[in-house]
Amino acid sequence: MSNDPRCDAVRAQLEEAFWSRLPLAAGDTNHFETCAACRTYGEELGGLGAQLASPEFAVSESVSARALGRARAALAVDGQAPPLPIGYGREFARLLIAALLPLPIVLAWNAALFNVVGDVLAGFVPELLLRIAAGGYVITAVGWAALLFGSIPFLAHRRATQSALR
Amino acid sequence: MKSDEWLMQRVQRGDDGALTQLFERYRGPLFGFLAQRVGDAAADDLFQETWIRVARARASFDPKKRFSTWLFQIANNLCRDRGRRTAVQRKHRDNVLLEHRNNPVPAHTAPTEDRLDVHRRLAQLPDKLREVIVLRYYHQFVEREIAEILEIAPGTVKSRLHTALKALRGQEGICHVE
Repeated sequence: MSNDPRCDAVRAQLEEAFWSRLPLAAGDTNHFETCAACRTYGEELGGLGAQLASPEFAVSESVSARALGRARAALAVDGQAPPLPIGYGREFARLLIAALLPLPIVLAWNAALFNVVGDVLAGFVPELLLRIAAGGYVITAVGWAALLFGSIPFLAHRRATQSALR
Repeated sequence: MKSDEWLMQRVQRGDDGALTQLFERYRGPLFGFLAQRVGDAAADDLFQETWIRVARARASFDPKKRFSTWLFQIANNLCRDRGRRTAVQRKHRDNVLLEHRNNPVPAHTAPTEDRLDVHRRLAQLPDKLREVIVLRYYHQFVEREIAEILEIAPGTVKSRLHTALKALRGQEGICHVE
């Protein structure tokens, strides 16, 4: 790129037109007409476009017929679309195991936390307040668990979809 | 005319007539894309494999997204897999170039040697640059769609296009691509 921002803008427009295979034109025609470097760049891109003219590739009728036949056969295997993408079960199981594995540690940690904090606070915090705090903690923990386990089917669907494309 | 996405939803319900319609719409562009990526001969197999995957993975198609993007994503992934499997991909592309050396050049295009130079440069580009050129220039996907097909950030597409254009103009030796 040049130091002149007008050159940069004009060249960006020329490049966009080049990629879009449109006639090369610059928005800032005044600048384009007077700037030899931009005009040269435009000509160069025009020449490049001509040289890149698309080579003709044609699929043969036999390959075409075979491809369509095999795709239709694959479609006919189960007629209806499977309700879930291929590999969904595997992904679901994998994520569920990954979520369940640390669960005993999390539960043990929470139980220990309850006991220790409960003992410490029992000396100077009213019991009612302690119960409310404990209840709030449990509700929050259950909410987090619901969010985590509830997201597993969606995550599994997404992962199975992505791997099905590969 | 029914949209591609509508037809694909029919395919999801097992309608092979809809599959045939999609096939007819995309067989030319898809084969062209594959041939540009891996060469004529290898494109035959990948072309068939792509359509088989369309049928098998139909449940994973999201009707809110464009069918063409999804189709080319499958095709591109197959090209990448093939590229990883074989080390002779570049040789195939060179063969394609040699095939096109004998093709007549339309009068309005640049001289044959210039054209061959650019196609040779294109064939010698790293896969990551060539795939953005093929998708952007020959198939007219916009940057956002290319990003979706290649599963990269739109900014990366932009930067690769920039690098690719420099390389096509012969201004940059390509050693490393983001």
